[in-house]
Amino acid sequence: MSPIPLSNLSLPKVLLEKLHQNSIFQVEDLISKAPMELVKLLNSPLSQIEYLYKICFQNLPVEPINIFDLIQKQNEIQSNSNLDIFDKLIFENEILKKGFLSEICGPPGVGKTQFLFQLCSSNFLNKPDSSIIYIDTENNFNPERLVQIAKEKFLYRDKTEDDLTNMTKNIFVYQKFNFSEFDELMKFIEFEIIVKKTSLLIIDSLASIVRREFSGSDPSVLYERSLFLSKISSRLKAIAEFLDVAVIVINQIITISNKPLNNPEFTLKAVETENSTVIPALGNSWTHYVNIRLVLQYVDDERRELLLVKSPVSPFRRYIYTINSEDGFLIEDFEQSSESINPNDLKIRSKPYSK
Amino acid sequence: MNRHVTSLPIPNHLKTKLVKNGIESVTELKNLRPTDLIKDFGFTRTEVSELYETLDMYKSIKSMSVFELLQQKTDKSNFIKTLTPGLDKILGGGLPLGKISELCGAAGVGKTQVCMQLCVNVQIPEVFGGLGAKAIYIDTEGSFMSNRVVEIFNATGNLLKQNFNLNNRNELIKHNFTIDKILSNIFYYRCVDHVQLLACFNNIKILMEKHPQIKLVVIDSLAYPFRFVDFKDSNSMTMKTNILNNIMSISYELINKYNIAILVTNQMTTRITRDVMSNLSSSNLVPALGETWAHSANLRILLSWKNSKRQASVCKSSYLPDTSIFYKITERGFEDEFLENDSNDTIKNNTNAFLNDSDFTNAQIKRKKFDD
Repeated sequence: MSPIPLSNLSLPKVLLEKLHQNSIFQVEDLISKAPMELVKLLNSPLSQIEYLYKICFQNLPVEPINIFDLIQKQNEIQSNSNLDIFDKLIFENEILKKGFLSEICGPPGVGKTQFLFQLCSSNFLNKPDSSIIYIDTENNFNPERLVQIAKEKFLYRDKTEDDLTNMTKNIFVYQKFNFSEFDELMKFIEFEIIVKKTSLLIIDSLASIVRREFSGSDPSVLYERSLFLSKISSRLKAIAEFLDVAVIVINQIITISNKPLNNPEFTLKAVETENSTVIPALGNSWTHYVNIRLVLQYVDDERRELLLVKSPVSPFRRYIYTINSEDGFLIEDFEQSSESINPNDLKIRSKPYSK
Repeated sequence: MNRHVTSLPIPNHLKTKLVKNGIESVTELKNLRPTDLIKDFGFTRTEVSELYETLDMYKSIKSMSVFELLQQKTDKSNFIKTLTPGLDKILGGGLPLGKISELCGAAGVGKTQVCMQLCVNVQIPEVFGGLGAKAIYIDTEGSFMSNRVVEIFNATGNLLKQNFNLNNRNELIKHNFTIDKILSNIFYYRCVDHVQLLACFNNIKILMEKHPQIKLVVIDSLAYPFRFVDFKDSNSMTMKTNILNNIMSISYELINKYNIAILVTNQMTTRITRDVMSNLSSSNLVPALGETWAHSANLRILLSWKNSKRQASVCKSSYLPDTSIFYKITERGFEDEFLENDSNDTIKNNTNAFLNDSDFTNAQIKRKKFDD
């Protein structure tokens, strides 16, 4: 919310001067003070303070929303009969829902970027007039692969070469490999989204930027990191909600050990044994900030699975998929189980390297 | 108007006592405390009470005898029933009206689901044992799904049909339990930051005057607008405390006036402590918002994971024992989960499990990080 200066509120001049003397310039400054504190600071009776509050809140427009309108807004996704399994996954679970911050995490090479490329094509097919902003921080973006995946999908939907060209014109890639560049970009991202009529914002990946900038396990670094994460999540959510875009963020995984802390025999070898667990990076609090969490992991050499572990829309679901050299992300099997899974305590399976 | 004490309908010897001590007007009299009257003027307790009765003072101060309170307690309508037997049991009947309840738990454990479910449950008509009331939903995280509310409504309708042996839904419709009514009786606010949250609470004060049938205010979540507060900056810390306090004082005001239930969700955060001797850091999972807040909620319910099962525990309450049950999240929201080995008794006493409610020993994860 943008700050509202008190001078805009048509307050009595004497009162305004008093407020300014006490370095209270904005509505936020005023309402973050306790009423009794203000009585003392301004040397005015409580009734006047109450009047001041009243004026302030009249200028903060907060009104309840009618849920009927909300339903209309949320149900705008058209039912397209021509959906393939992948699109069904996307729409049933509302992964491209405007206003949502979704997260995809998984071990290296499991197909996160492939999933995103497929997602880009789906998004274009459903909203051909909008664009996609793709922030690449890992130098993973491969335009040829994107076109290859989109081509298969477009054939299925009877689209032409022109559509494909049109799509490539509407995906904007920003390659930002260090934190300061990324930070700079985030300042202008809102303008970019408006100018380019974006409907999907992808950050591939947030974890790599954050982990490179805030490295080490020093408490002060961890503190800075968590502060940054909460700020950026709120920023991204505001962007998603008020600029009508879906935001997708890629997360990495980290290895933690289950061994007790003060065990002297504890060595790095433990990572390779069963005493270690692989979990999503960025910490526990981050899990609260995202609306949807998807996990990609290996089942065996060939097959992988996509788990929907946190969602306000759908129950826990499991999709088995493979990565195909032509189609990209291919979903083979779907299972909706009654079991549930703790999104914080995931044991993500990496690629089973044979010895 | 300043009335003279002699004109008061009180016994003459009291009047003389007052005038003798220089008390002439009623205003002067009202400024005196009972202890002054007894100590300085030699009144007896009966005389003082007689005096105050005539003066009609202190009538506005309301108190309740324990007897009255007990009667209110047995009155079943003082709870929002969750229609989930296990949860109702550990909460002593449902979500209590007139209290601030806090729901804390890790991400994805089902906090938002419980909130949405209660918004429907509070509207169950009185003939079916509900309150037939309305609800306010304050969303700070953007996770509210109206489609889920429709789903929860349908599932709740089916449950009511089953519980009351109804043949069809006409009976429900007759009592105004329809989807249109349900949706229009939830007032939804979307807040993005702490300033809006406070503004929203002020708006609620006005809204409640128009709709006194509102019996539930949900804030999902209270923690999120305060997560970006820099704890090292003392100014913003004061701001956080002040705003939380302002919200609390409005909450108590609303509770006093309308006897509503306030349900707040809280996130979990990782607290890192470093052992200086061994230079190893350990981390525990604790509810966010800090210790000051922990005092504010009357009832704290912790939702946590136990292996792949979900568990709900009462961990701060002045009237309930620390108990826990297993649950699952279904179409209807929160439902009891019956484990195979002890299906008869899913409610277990775990009084010792929580030594300190802000330091969940069994939720503690100690670990050493390798690359993060």
